[in-house]
Amino acid sequence: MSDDDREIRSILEALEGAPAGEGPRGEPDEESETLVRLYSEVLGLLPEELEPVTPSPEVKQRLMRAIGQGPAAAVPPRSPVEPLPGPRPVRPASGPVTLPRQRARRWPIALAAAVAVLSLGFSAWLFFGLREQGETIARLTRELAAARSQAERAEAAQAQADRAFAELVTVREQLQLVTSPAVEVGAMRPAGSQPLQPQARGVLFVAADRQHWYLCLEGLRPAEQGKAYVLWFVAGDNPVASGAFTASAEGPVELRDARMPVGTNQVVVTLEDDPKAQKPGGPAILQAGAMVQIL
Amino acid sequence: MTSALPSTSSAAANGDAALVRRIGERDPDALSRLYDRHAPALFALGKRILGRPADAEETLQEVFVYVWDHADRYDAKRSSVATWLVLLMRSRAIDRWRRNAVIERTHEAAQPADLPVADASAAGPESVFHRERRERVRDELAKLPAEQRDVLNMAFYQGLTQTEIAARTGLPLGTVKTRTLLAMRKLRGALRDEIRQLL
Repeated sequence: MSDDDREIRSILEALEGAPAGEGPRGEPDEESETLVRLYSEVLGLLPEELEPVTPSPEVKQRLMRAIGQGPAAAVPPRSPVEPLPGPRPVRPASGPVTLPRQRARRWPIALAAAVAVLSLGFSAWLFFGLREQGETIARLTRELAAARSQAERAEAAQAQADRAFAELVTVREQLQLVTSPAVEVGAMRPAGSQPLQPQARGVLFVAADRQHWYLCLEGLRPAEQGKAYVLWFVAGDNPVASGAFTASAEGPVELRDARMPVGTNQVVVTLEDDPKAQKPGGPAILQAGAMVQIL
Repeated sequence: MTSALPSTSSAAANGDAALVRRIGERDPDALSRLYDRHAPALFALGKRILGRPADAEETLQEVFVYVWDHADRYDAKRSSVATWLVLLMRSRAIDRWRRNAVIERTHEAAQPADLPVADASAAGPESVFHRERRERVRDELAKLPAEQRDVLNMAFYQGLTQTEIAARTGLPLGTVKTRTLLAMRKLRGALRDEIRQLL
């Protein structure tokens, strides 16, 4: 056997617990035993790389209790020292001391199984709960959308009703104006001997208080871009602008107000380049005739 | 828990042998003192192999119960007490590891990527000698080539035979044996002083 072979055998015996070093004839090999011893000590040093860790105090307490319950209160007679079969860890001939905790090793499995079952049940409960909540959320969302749609329709209807009411009020006011006692009515006719818009005409109603008035004009051509028609109330020689407007071919122009300059004796509609003109500068289009009290 | 250890390993070895003799005479105080001296190192070894502190504690208890019951089987010619305890702990821990049938997971959990780091329950202050010896062992192990260190770890901490190591690594059996031989030979030479003090 070469030196390397002897050495590796010794190492393996120390590591794996091969039978004690033997010579080629099966006799004890002192050199091999020495190598086994040396390499056993090397193995014994390997765990030195680990940082020592103190176990819990209960370990020692259990140990001391165990040896107190152990066999032989009487000291057994010392048997001749038997050589250990190499540094191989010796398995006791008798069964190992049964430690209480070994019997309890099944409980972790049972506990884990119980936890797994509970977890499954909880997960299923969560799943169905979440699904039900999702359905509830979807239903509530639909109801909310429907409610919002209804609200929008209600708002639109309310707005329409408001417009209709406003129109009704206007019409009532107009009716009151035109049917009020001592209302004066005057026709608006094309101005000048050669009127620029001979088809244009209108009616002016002035209430008895000489403040409230209502004017309805028809046939006016839409004003050119940048220009506007301006209504003038002329008191003596002072024309007062009472509103600028642009006509539409789709319907009459209706103007109304509760103010009229005192001493108004003429009403004229001109076509101005500047809608904000302070004095008439454009051509007269319509002019009021004599006011007549009809009621 | 502090270890009341003498300053040299030889004295400690003699003290351990005396304690084992007294344990053979059913002296519980001797067992207690032997436990106090070696439990932190053995527990660390158990944790390294088993991964779970609870398993390591049970194995530690088994080892010392065995020492109590079979102290008369210790042969000083075969090994030092410290080595005897280490190899007992290693053997019991590997057996438990195999019984638990969680070899791969547990070993991966216990496999240190680098040198082990002390955890919160590190043992109390130790002698300068032991600290220096630990550093020496770490240094020498760190000097081993990675492939030799790996083979040694698999053999020692996992209890794999050379054949099993060859099967796992895909290396020829001869290569595995050679790496084991080279690693152990280097350590034997580098740690001869430490070994001499244990003999």
